[in-house]
Amino acid sequence: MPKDAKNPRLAIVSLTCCEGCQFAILDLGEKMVELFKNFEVVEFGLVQDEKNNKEYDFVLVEGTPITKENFKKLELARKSAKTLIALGTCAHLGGIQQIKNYQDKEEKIKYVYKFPKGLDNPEIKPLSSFVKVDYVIPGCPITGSEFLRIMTELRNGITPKIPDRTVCYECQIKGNPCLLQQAKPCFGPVILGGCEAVCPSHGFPCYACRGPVSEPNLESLRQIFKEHGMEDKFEILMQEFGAADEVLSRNKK
Amino acid sequence: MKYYQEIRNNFMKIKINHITKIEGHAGFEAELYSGKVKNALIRTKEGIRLVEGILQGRSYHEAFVITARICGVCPVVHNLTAIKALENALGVKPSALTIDLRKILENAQIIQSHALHTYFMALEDYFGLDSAFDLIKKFPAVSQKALRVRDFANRVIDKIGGRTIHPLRTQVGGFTKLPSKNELKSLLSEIPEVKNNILAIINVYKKIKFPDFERKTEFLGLSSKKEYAIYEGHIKTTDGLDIPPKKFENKIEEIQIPFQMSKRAYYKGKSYMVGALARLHLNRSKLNKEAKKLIKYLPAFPNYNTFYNLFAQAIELMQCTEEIEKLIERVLKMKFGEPSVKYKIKAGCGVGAVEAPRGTLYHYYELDSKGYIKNCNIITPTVQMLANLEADLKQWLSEKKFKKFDRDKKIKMLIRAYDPCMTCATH
Repeated sequence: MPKDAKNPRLAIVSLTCCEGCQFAILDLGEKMVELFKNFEVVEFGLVQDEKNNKEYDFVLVEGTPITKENFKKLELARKSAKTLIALGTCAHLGGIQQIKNYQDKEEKIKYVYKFPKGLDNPEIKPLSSFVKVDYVIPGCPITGSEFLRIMTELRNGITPKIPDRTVCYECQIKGNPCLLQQAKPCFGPVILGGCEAVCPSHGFPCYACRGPVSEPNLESLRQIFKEHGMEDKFEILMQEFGAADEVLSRNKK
Repeated sequence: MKYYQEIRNNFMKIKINHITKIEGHAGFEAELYSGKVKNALIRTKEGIRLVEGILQGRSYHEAFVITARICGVCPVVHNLTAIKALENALGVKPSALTIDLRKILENAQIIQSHALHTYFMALEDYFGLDSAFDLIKKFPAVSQKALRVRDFANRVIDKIGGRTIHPLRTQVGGFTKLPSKNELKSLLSEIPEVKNNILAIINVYKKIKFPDFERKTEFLGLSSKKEYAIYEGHIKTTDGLDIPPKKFENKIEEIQIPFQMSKRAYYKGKSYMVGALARLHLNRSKLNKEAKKLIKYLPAFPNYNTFYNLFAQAIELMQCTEEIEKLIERVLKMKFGEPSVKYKIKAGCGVGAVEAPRGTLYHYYELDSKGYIKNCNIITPTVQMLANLEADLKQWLSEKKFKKFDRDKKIKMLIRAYDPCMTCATH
């Protein structure tokens, strides 16, 4: 890495989510400490008190905006940063909370809260619907090794790219038995890899948390779902992490 | 005119916008009149995700995937509690091996969370530091050891659950895949060093002078005759309540204050405490050998000084490590057959209760005959401790009359002692 006199200022800003992506960074342990030697970490709420200076070179934003304060925070993050990176599925696609977009959200809030009045309950949208997102680090949660690579590239002025290959491709390289062939609803053939096919490697089907590859072959996958009598699950499970809108819109292009 | 002047002079508002170094986002607000605190409110900054609402109408096998995402620090316990509740609803009886592996997972979950909180997030308050990075600089050797303790717990979760955050192998009925005995043996071989590292953390805790504070309260948690209850047991309190988890809704009342996104739970109409300190009150006679030896460093029980919750977490690091050791030894003697039992989908209701790092977690599901969720309810530990924390803050601020310059620090210190998780509180 270039030995700049000044390290770029990095902030991790968190909107509504489980914060698992911040934990994924923390879980890198010594590798995180090494990486952050090349940045000036000015905001990382999980482990440090707030500082007042709001000028960032890089801002990582996790979560989706739900409260009015979330929206202001996102706006401020965009204004304060040269480069904004959507961190994780919530920021990238909407996450589990956007399932309510496919339901009656007024009914849902009444189910959970006796006094729904005054509680913000907007439709859930990815960050890119509100601000310009420069890069995405996808996944629920993010993949540690991919995070390290992308951040190192950004630090060195290299444009990070995620190879346009499917989860299925990575899964096959690992020699895993195919879950689709066992009639398990797996979206591996249309979803962007880079996660090292972590879910199918542990016998858990891909639920599309990283979003689609550039040209997903949806009809062929739908056909496989149909053959195994799982057609009803196709769109429902694609909603799980918020990928449905994006995947289905790719298909129409 | 003079009267209003007087009110104005005596009236004071305290507002902290962002409590850092807790899980999720919260602010604090209080109103003081003549030095007496009228209201003390922890205000969540997390938006509502309506998890119970979105689960309604979806299939049961999505529940443990979606609820794990309630919280990035304790996904394992949400995942396991959902699975347990669903198994109760479907009448599924998992194998002895499955239950022991889940117990290992949950003990590791507690270690992972406690090591982070009691060391890296809360300890700075007692050494006048602002960030974990400063703490690492001040105590490089112990910090390294605390990191290793946490790494160990993460490896345990990874080997058994498939991933440290949001586990993958856990299922209704068992697992998709079992760890190999060699993997478990390798984890077992790490335990002596983990115990030594925990003793180094305990040594730091022994030197801390905790603030002088006391407010009588009730402690609630799972309790069992067999063991230091984590994965199974009855719900007990220090005033003698003893009920099976399925009856929790009769005794624990969850209330929403209008305009507040985090609910609060009450027992007999009063606030109560859950978590490490509550578990020690109820179950300290069941502690493992090494953990039991550490109890002497705490003041006598009952201990109503909730700052000691942090020390209790440090003691639980040892308890859970010893428990993992015992469980792995037991599991290694078992036959590893089918990873999961077969079951049929049917209509039913089920409750699951598991000790999360921060206290007892409840999940309830009602399923229809096709396995779709008709109703569900989740009561998290933070929902249960929130009113108690507010009552403590109220008394602490009224009693101590802190000077303005360090008042905010003292407020944050008590909040961190409770280790609230706002993402859980506002699911």
